[in-house]
Amino acid sequence: MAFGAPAQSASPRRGGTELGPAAIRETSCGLLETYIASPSRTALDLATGTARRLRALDTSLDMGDLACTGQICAADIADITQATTSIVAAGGLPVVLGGDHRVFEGLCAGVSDSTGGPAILSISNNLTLPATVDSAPLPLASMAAGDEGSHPLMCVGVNGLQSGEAWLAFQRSGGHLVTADELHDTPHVAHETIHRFVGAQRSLACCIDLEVLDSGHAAGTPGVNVGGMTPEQLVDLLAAIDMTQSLSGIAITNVAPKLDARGLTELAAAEALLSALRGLLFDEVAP
Amino acid sequence: MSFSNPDEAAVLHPRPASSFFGAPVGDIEDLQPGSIAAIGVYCDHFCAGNPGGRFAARQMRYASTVAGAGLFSADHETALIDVGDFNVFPLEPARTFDIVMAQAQRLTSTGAKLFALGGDYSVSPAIVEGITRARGSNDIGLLRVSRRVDALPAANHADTTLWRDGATSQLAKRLNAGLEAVALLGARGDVTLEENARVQAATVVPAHELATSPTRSVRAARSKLERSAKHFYLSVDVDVLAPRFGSVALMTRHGGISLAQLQVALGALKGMAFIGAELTGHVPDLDVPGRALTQDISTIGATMLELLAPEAQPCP
Repeated sequence: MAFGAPAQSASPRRGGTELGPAAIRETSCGLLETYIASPSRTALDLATGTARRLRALDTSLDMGDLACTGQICAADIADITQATTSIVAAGGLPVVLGGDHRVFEGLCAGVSDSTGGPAILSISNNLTLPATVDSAPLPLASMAAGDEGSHPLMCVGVNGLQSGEAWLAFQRSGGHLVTADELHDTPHVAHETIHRFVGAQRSLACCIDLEVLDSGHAAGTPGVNVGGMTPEQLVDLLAAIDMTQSLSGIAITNVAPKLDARGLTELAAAEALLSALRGLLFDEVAP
Repeated sequence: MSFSNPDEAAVLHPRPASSFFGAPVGDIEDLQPGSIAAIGVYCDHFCAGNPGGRFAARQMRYASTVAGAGLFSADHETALIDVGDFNVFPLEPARTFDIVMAQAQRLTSTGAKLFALGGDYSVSPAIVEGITRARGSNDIGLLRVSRRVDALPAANHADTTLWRDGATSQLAKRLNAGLEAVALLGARGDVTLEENARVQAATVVPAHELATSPTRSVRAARSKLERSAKHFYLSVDVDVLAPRFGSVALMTRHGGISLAQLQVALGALKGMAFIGAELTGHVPDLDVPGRALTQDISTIGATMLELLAPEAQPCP
C-alpha cells in the first residue's frame, strides 16, 4: 500500500520534494506501459533475457498523499508513523513516496510499533536523516537503537563528509557500511555483502534516498552528491538483492522534480522502486 | 567603419541563414544525382509522450551551422542541400502520411539521397514508402538504431497511420524481405513478449552488446542484413543514448550507450549502400545547456552524412 508524504525539506536544504510523490507516480506508470501493452502483461528484459509477468494489481492500493504542508516537522512524521502502523496492522506493506528524507523516521517508527523493530537498510549518501523545522538531524544509528538493544543497520552508498557524532554513533551501533567508492571499485563484493545482510534479517525497513546518486545523473535532490552512484548501479544493486521475504516497509525519498528539468531523478526513483519491489509485482515466467 | 544607417551593415555583411551543417539552402530543382537533400521534419510523434520533437530540426540548424560551415558546397558532386522542412498537417496523421510520402518520392526521384532530421519514428514509414515508390523497388533493408523495437501489430491501434509503437511493423511490410531485412540496434529495457516474438525474424542487437563491443556486434548485424538486401535505409533515434545525453519523446530507460559508443557503432557501417537516412527522437531543451546537447546530437548527424556520402570531401 503506497502513500505519498509530500513534505518539503527544512531550510537551508533546497526545496521541491513536496512534488516528489506525484512525479514518482507518473513516471512509474510510464515504466509499466510495456507490460500493460502486452495482452499477457508479460515483458522480456533485453539485458538479462528474463521474462516477467505483471501481477494483477488488485491487492495494491495507492492511498494518495498525506496532508503535509510546508517544511517537514514532527507532526508530519507522526502522521507517517500512524499511516504506516495502520497499513502494517492490516497486513499490508507500506510504501512511502517522499518527500524529504526525514520521512523515513516515520516509516521506521510505524514498522517498529507493529513488529518490534526492523533491521534498517539505508541506501543514502548520509549517515543521518536531515533536520526538521523543530528538531536536529537524526543519526540513523539512533533509530537502530531500541529497548532490546541495537537493531542491525546497514548504510549503502555513503559518500562525502559525515558528522562526527553520527559516525561515532554508527560505529558504536556495530552498523555495516558499504561506501559509494566500494560500489564503484568492487561492485560484486559490495553486492554480496549487502545480499548477506538482507538475507539474515527477518524484518527489514529500507529507504532509497535519491541523494545517493551522483548529482550529474540526478540533479533533482535537495542536496548535492559528487561521486555518488549512477542510476544504473542503483537499479542493478536493487535487482541483485532479494528483499521480498524480509521487507516490512520501504520509503523512497528526496525527489525534487523541479530541480531536474529533464526528469532523470524521478525516472531513477521509479526504476529503483520497481526494481526493489519486483518480487512482489512480477512473476518470472519462461520467455 | 561606421554606418549612418544600421541596416546598411546588414546589407554589406548579410548574416547567412541557419541551415543543416551550413549547407546551401535550395529547392527540389537544385537536386541532382549524388546530392543529399537534408530536410527537416516539423512533426511530433502521434502517440503518448513529451511534445517538442518538431523543434529538433530548427535547433539542429542553429547548432550545426557554424560547425559545418564550408564543409559542403553546392558545386561539389555530392553537395548537401538544405531543402527546408516537409509540409505536414500536425493534427491529421493520414494527411501527413500522404504528403510526406509524396514529398519524399519527389525528392528521391531527382536521384538525390534524402536525409531527414528531427521529428519522430512514427513518420518514417511515410518517408520509406516515398523512397521505395521513387525507386520502383522495395528491395531495401532497414537499419534502425533505437532503444525501442516498436514492433507492436498495427491491429492494436485504431489509426494505423503514423503510430510509433508499430512503426517497425509498418516499415517491414514495405520491404521485400520483411523483418528479415530489418536490423534493430541498441534496444534496451523491457519489450512485450508478443513484440519479442514478432522481431525474432529481425536482427536484434541489445544495448549492452552495442556498449561492450560496438564494432563487432554491428558488423555481425551488418553481414546478416546484407544477405537480405543490397541497399539500406538508416534510421537513428536519439533515445538509444543514455538519458543524460538528451531529452526524448517517450519514456526512456537508464542504461543506454554513450555518444562515443554510438559514433563507433555508426563507424562500423561505413561502406554500406545507404539510399536515405533519418535522425529522429530529439526533443531539444530550448535553453543554453539544451543547445549544447543539440550540438552533440548534430555530431551524430555529421557521421550519418559521411555514411550517406562516403566520397564527400571538405571544400578546399
